[in-house]
Amino acid sequence: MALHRRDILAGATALTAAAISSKARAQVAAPRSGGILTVAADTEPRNLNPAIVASNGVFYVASKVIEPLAEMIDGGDGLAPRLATRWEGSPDGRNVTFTLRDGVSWHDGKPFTSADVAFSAMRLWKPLQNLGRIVFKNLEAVDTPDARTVVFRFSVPTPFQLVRNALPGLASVVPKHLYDVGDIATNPANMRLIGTGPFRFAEHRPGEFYRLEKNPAYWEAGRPYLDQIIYRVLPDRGAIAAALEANQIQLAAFSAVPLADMERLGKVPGIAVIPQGYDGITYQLTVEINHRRKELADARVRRAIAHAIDRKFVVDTIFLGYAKPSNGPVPAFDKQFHRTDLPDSGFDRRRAEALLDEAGLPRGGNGMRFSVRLLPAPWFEQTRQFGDYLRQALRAVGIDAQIANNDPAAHLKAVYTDHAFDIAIGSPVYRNDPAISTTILYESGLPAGVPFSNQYGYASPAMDGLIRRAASAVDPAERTALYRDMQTLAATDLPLIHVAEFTFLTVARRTVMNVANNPRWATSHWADTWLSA
Amino acid sequence: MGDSLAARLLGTTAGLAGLLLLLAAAIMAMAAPWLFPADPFDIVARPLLHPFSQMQHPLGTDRLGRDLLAMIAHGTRPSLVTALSVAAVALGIGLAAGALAGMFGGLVDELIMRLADALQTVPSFVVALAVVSVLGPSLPGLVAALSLSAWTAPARVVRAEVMRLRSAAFVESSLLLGRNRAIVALQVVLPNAIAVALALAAVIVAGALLSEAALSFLGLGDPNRPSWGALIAEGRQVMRTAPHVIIAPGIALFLTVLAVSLVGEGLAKALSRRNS
Amino acid sequence: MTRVLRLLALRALSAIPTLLIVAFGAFMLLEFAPGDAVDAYLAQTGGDAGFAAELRRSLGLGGTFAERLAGFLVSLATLDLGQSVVFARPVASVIAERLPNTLLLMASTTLFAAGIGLGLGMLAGRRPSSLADHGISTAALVLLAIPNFWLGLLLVVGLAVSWPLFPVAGIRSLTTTGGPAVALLDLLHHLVLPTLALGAGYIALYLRTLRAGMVEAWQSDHVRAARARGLSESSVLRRGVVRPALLPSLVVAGQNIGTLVGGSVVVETLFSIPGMGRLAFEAVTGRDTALLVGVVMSATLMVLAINLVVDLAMAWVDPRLGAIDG
Repeated sequence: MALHRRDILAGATALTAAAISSKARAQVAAPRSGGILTVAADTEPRNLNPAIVASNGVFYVASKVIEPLAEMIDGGDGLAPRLATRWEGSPDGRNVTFTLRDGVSWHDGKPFTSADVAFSAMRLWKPLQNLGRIVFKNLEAVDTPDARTVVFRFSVPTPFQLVRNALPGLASVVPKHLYDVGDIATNPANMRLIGTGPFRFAEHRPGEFYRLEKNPAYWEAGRPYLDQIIYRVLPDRGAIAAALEANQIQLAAFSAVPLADMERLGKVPGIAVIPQGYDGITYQLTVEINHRRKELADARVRRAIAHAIDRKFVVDTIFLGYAKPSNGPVPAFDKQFHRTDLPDSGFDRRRAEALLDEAGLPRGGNGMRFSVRLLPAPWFEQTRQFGDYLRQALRAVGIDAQIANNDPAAHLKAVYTDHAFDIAIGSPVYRNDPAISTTILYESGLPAGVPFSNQYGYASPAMDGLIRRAASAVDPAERTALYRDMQTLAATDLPLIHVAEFTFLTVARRTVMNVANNPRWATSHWADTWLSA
Repeated sequence: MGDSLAARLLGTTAGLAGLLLLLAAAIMAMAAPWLFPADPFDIVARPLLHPFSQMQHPLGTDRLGRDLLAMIAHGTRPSLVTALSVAAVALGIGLAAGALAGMFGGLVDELIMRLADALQTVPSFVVALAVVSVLGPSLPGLVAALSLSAWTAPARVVRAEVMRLRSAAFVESSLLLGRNRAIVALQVVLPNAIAVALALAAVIVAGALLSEAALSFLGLGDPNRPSWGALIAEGRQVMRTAPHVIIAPGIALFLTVLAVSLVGEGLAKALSRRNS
Repeated sequence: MTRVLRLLALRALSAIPTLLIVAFGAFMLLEFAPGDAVDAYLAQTGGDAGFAAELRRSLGLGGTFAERLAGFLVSLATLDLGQSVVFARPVASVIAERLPNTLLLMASTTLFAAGIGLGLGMLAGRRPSSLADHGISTAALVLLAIPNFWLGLLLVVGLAVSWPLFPVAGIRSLTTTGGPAVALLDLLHHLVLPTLALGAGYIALYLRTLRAGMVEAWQSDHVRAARARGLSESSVLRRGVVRPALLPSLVVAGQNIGTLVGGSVVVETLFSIPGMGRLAFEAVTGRDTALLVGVVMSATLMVLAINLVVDLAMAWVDPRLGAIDG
C-alpha cells in the first residue's frame, strides 16, 4: 500500500522500478555474511553520542553502535523491539514500564542491565539531550526493580503515545559504568563509542573515515551480516557521485548526491536510486512569518502569502519531484495524526490580491504594497532556491521582498534570537510525534534563542491550550483528536505556512541489500544489511 | 596633459580595443533596464532551457526558469559599480595614507607601513571572505572587504614618490616658509602620483571584478541583484546537462575583465611614451 | 653568513607585529560577526535554550568580551593555538592535516606557471614587438582575465565529466593499491585540473614580468658592452638579457604567494581539496575563533617564510642586492 502511493509521487519511473526490484530481491535471496560496506559521510560531528545529540548526522554513524530501546518499522504498530522487548504505560500516565532484552552485553563485555537505562534516561536524555530535554522534562525518577525491568516515573500524566513515539530517536542507551565517572559532556566515550549495537566502533581518522567492525557477540544471532562499515568523509557532493560510479563507495544517503544528478545516476547499470526509508524523518519547508510586524500580524495577509505560493512549481522545479506539497504541520506519512480535510490554501493569485486589498494594504505608486526582509535558511540548496522563488511570488502580489544572505550562524541568530526578520524560510523536522519538535512551532512564551521554534511572535491562547492538553492527554484517542484540532487551528490562523514535505534519497549499488527497509533506515542499525557480491 | 593622454591611449591597440569593450559593457550596464524591462528574476519559462531553442530567451534559462540573458545584462551594472567603487576607495585611502606616511615620516610612517605590511601579507581573498561574512554582502560591505587589501599598493607607490619629491628644492623652501605639511603633500602628490595611480586603477578594478565574482560564487554575494558569480555557482549543479548556465555568465565576466586589463595596458604604454 | 643571520633576525623581529595585527584582526572580526560557534552548531542539531547554554558554558563562549579577549591574549602569549570548536580537535592538528595539501597545490601551480610562463616570456622577449611577441602578450592578457573558478568548472566539464580523463574532485583516490609510486601518480593525476585552473593567471604573470625585464635589458649598457665585445647573439641573450630579467620574476613570485593562497580558497572549494583555503572558510562559517586565528597566522607565516626564501635566493643570485634590510 505505502509503496503504491509513493510510486505516484516519486519522480521518474526508473526510480520506482529500481525500488520495487530491490525490495523484491531482498525478499527472495538468502542473506550472505561478510563483506565491507563503504558509504559516504559528509560531516564529522563534534559529539558522536546520540544520547546527547539526537541528530541525523550523529545517528548515521552512531546508531550502528549504540542502540535505542525500540526502532521504527513499516507496518504493524510501527515499533520493533531492540533493547526493550515490551513497553507498557500505566492508565494514569504516570509510569511506563519497559521489559529489557536478555543476553545483551556491551562491547567491552560487561552486561547490559536496567541500571544502564536508568542512568541514560536520568543523566543524559533528560538533562543533556537536545530533544530529550523537551520530551522527558517531567521524568521524575527511573526505578529498576530488577536487572530486566525499568519503570519511568513522571511527575505529571504523560501520554504513553508520546513516549512510544520518542523511543527510536530519543532513547539511545549508553553504558553507565563508562559514564558515571565524571563530566559526561567531555567523556571520551562520546567519540569512541561503546554500545550494544551490531557494530563496534573501531577507528576514526579525522578528515578521512570512520570504521565500524562486526560485533561477534551481538544479541541477535547471525547478525550483523556485514564485517565492516567504512564511512568515507566526502564533503563535496560531486566527489560522492564520482566515487559511487567508480565503485569506491557503495552507498550515499541523505541526498548526498545532488538532486540534479539523481536521474542520470539511476540509469547507470548497477546503481539504484531509492527514495524510501526516510519517512520517519520528514523535513518540512516552511515560511515563518514575524507577527511583530503590523502587516503580517493580520491573518488575511498570511493567508494571502500562502495563496501566492505555487506548491506544485516548488515540488516540480525546486525539488525535481522528490517532495510532496503540504499545508499542515503533520506530514501525510503519519497516518495516526495527519488530517486530510484541512482548508485549502492553494495557489490563487487573485485571492491573494483580494485578501491584501481587504486587509487595507493597497498597491502603492511603484506597484508594491509594503516591503519585507526575507531570510532563507542557508543550509539546504532547496531552501535558498525557494527564497529566490518566494521573492518573485511575493512581488507578483505586490509585496516587495529583499533577501538577506546569511550563513547558518548568522541566520540562527537573526531569526531565532534577535527576531530581525519579517519572513524566514525554515526546514523543521517532524520526528514521529507532534510533541517532539512540532508543537514547539506553535506554542507561545518560549525564550529567545531556541532554534526551530515559535520565534515569530505567534501567541494564541487557544493553540496553547490545545498543546498543553495534548501534552498530558493520556488517552491516545483524546490525544489524537487534540492534535487534529491543532491542525485545523493551524490552518486557520496560519502562523507559519507549510509548503512542502521532503525526505531524502539514497543512491546505492544494487549489490547492497535490505536498503531502506524501515522508515528511518539511514539512521537505524543496519544489522540486516548485506552485500550480494 | 589629459588631452594628449587620451589621444595616446587611443593610439595603442590595447587601449583602443579595451575602451571599445569597456564602452560596450558600460552601455549594457546602463541600457539593461531598457533592453530587458522586466524583473530579471521573474520566472518566465521552463527551467534549463538551452540557448537558441526559443528565440524569446536567446541564452536559455537557469534552474528556476529565469532568462539568462536578462540576468547577465542586469548583472553588469552591479559588477562595474562595485569594482569602480573599490578602486576609488582603495586609491583614495592609498593616496592619503601614502602621502601622510611620506610627508610626516617617523612614527606615522612606521604605523601606516606596519598596517600595510600586515594587510599585504595576509592573503587578500581570505580577508575579503572573512569581512563579507561578517559585514554582509551589501555594497558598502563588499567595497570594504575588497579595498581593505587593495589600498596598500597605491599607498606604497605614493609614499615612495612623496619621499622622492620631499627633498626637492621647492618643497623644502615651502616647508621652511612654514606651509602646512599636509597641504604641501597634496600639492606634491596630486600632479605626480596621479599618473601612477591610474595605472594601478586598472589592476585594482580587474582584481575587484574577479574577487567579487568569486565571493558570489562561494555564496557570499548579494542575492537581490543578478550576479555572474552566483549564476556560475548555480550552474555547477547542472553542468553536465546544461553547461550554458556556466558558460554564458563566465564569458561576460571574462570580457569585462579583459576590457579593463586592455585599458590598463594601453594606459601604461601611453604613459611610458610620455616619459621616454 | 652573518649577513644571512642578520637578515633572518630582522625578518623574525618584523614578523611579530605583522602576526599580532593579523591575529588580533581575526579575533575582532569574529567577535563582531553575527552569531557564535554554538549558533553554527545548533543549525545542525536544534535544541532548547538549556542545551545551547550548556554548550556555551562548556566551550567558554558565554562570558563577556573582556573575558574572551583575555583568553585570546593568554593563548597568544603562551603560543597555544587551542581547540577548534568545529572539529573538536586541537587547532594545530587540523592545520597540520590541511597545510600539506595547500602547499602541494601551491608548489605544483608555481612550478607549472613558472615553467610555461618563463618559457613563453622568453619567446616573447627575444624579439620585442615581433609577431610572436604581440601574439604571446595578448594571450597573456587573455589568461589574466579568465576567472579561476570558471576555468576550473570548464576544465571539469570538459576533462573530467564529458571525457573522464581526470578526477572530478579530491586530492587522492580513496584506495590505491600498489605502493608509493602508484600513490604519487594518483596524487599528480588529481592535481592536474586544480593546477591548471589556479595556474593559468600566474602563467601570464611570469610571462609578462620576464618579458618586461628582457625588454628593459635589451636597452641596457650591459648588452651594448657585450655586443661590443663581439659575443654571439645567443650568448648576449642568455647572459645579458635573460639572466638579469629572471630576478624580478623571482620577486614577483614571492609577492604573489598571498594571492596564490587566496586563489586556493576557491579552487580548493571547487575541487574539494582539504586545504588551508577551505579551512579559513570553514572557520568563518563555524565562528571558530581559535581556528581562524590559527589559519591566518599560519598563512601569514607561510607567506613571510616564502618571501624570506625568495630574498635569500635573490641575494645569492645577485650579490649586489645583498644589502637588503628588514
